Amino acid sequence: MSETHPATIATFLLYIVGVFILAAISHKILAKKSFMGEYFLGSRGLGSWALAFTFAATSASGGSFTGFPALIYTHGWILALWIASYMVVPICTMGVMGKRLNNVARKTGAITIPDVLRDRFESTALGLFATSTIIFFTVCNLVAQFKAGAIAVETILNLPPSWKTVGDWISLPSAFDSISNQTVAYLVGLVIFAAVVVIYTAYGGFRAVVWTDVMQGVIMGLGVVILLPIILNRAGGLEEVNRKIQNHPPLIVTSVPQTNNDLAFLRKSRSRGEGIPDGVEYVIPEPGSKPSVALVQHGQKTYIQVRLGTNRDGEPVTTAEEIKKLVTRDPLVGPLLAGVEANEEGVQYAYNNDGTGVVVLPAGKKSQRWDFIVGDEFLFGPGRKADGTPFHPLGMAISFFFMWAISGMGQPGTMVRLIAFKESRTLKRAILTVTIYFGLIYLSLVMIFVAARTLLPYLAIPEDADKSMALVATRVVGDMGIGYAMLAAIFIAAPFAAIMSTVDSFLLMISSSFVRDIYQRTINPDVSERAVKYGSYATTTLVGVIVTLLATQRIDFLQYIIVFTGGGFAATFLCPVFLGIYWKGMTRQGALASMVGGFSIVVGMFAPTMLGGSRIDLFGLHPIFWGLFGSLMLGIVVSKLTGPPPEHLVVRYFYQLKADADGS
Amino acid sequence: MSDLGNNTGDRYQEDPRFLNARREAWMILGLWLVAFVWTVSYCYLFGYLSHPPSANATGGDIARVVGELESFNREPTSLRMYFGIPDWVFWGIAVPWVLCIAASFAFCLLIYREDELGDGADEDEI
Repeated sequence: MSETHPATIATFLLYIVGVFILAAISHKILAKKSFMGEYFLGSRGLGSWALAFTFAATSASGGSFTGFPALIYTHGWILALWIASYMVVPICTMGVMGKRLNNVARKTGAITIPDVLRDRFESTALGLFATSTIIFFTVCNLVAQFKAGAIAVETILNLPPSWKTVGDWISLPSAFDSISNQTVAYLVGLVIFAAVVVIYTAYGGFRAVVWTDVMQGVIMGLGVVILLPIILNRAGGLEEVNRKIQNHPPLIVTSVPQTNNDLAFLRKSRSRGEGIPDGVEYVIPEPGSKPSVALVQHGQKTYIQVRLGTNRDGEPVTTAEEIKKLVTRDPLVGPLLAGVEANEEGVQYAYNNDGTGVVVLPAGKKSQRWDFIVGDEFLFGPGRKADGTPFHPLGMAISFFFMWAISGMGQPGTMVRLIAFKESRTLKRAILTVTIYFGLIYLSLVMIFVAARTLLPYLAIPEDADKSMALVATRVVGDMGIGYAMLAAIFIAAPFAAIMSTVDSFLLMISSSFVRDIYQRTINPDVSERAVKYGSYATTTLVGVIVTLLATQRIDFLQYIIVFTGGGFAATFLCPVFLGIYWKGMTRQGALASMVGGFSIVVGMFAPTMLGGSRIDLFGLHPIFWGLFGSLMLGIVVSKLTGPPPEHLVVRYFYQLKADADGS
Repeated sequence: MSDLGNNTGDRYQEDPRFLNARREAWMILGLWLVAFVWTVSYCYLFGYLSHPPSANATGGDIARVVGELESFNREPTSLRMYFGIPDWVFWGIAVPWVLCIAASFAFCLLIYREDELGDGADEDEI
């Protein structure tokens, strides 16, 4: 596969040096301020630029930025609708609660979101439930993020897979089998990633984290804006791109579980119907079978069935080249296709650089089907997944508009930034900055990666999200000279930077949970400044080390928890905080019911995935919708039943003395 | 105010910062609603080749409530483009996006109140 350009490594190293410099400056400032407020909240001194970019980075890396390009590449223009609510995300996520939340937090000097809830309702239970939720989701996420970070570093530095596994180098006791089985390249990647992120986060605190976000946000924004005209120019203009996509023969890209075995099937006819195949089905037959091909009917659909040859253990042994010959020479199937292209070494669409291909059949399955995707489907909704079901049906279109804009408000990682800004004017300028920033980058990204389809037409379905972005960068602009190589490097490093900016704020959040919410506020309020200081450094580092160790393990259930982190956070935090700051009638019991209820609904609706089933999309709507709805209803009803709330709280948060216009 | 006992009620008034923030919050949620209705309904009606219900929906799907909408099934050859952007993306997403940027500016510059937020902020800015 592709070599890593020296410029890529140089850019990556420059980036890391930059991060360390920012951490060092932050650390110097830290020495002059009140420790805890500075370390976890930057002394409530966030200015407009810092607030804007730390906000953009934190909300953008909530799953959208790295996976987004691959989705555009795979499904086309419908992703413009998928991301459309970003037109109101800045004003919603910052404007609805920002000013009020900041004001409320200052009334008691709260520095974390659990702090705010605990003070607002004078309830330790509420604070501790909030803290536990944060710790639970954050630890699970950190482990996965560290894994992704390790792979990103491995890719950037192009560490050779031939380094084999740890077990080949040193022999460890059998208790450490899981470590022995990891490749050395992965462990090196993991150690580099962990060291960088833990050191600068622990050493520099909130200020370092924010500055890193600003640096990353500015670089990425510039990268996208520069890349857009280059790519469109290369592709012959956007209109030409759409025509090419529309007129391209219907296509599927599949792969067989052998090395370098991607296959692109191109159907002859653009229309559908009688006798025209709808897709391709792979079957792994009983052990010792010979490969064969046939047309089969499943319901109303016709599939080209490829039965793979198997060895005596039942493992498929047919290569892509053999399938290609078999299919194109078959008198029945061959004429239906405009071609089958097999990925050989060096062929353009071979995208997996570890050579494994997309694994064709999920473990335990004997057959798998893919449907042809007609060019038109890239230009209109609802898009189609590889299994033929609609990608973005109405229920999901509604849910995603909710998800980004409304549940985006409820993320503790973004809310904590709202209590950190300095004055009202800061928030106003930050809203405008992020509005313009998102307006520039998101639609540009859609255009860039739609155009990428014509420049790199046969990438295997990129489940592995980050690679299509890196590939577009290297294949399309990487060979155009040193300046372009630097530009490419930005996009290759993008997943790394995005992961880093998620991880650093998670690390701080979990550290603040332990030091502030659990230790200082619950166990020992009189803890000394010095103890807090070393406790915070130690906690941040320790969490980093534990997560690194966990990331050397295979922990399968993590993926099930990660997919509902954003939804779980929103359902837990949004309604209690929103109602708490805007509704006088909210009671402690109402807040607790809203919080526990929202959390339980989301977890409950996702629970079937842990047993191998699918998420419960009641009426086609995403669980996050129901979690928020339930949380809102519970908050209101339970508060009505248990009200009215204590008068001193209502006075403290909603009133001021008549004589004194500036409040108490 | 009726929320407070007579004694305290005489000495206190509602915090104007709270009232401002609440008013602004309602207006933003209104903007969200307008953007939501415009974008999702326009794109669904004019940008979808067909209007299939979700494959994974539990207990019926919202798309069934709306109906099959066969007369709205899009004919691919009817595609028009503005600046290379498909028509439904242009009217359903790009145009409202620009209007939302304008609305955000109008809100921040004309409606948003720069209230005092209280003590505790640092002198230096990050």
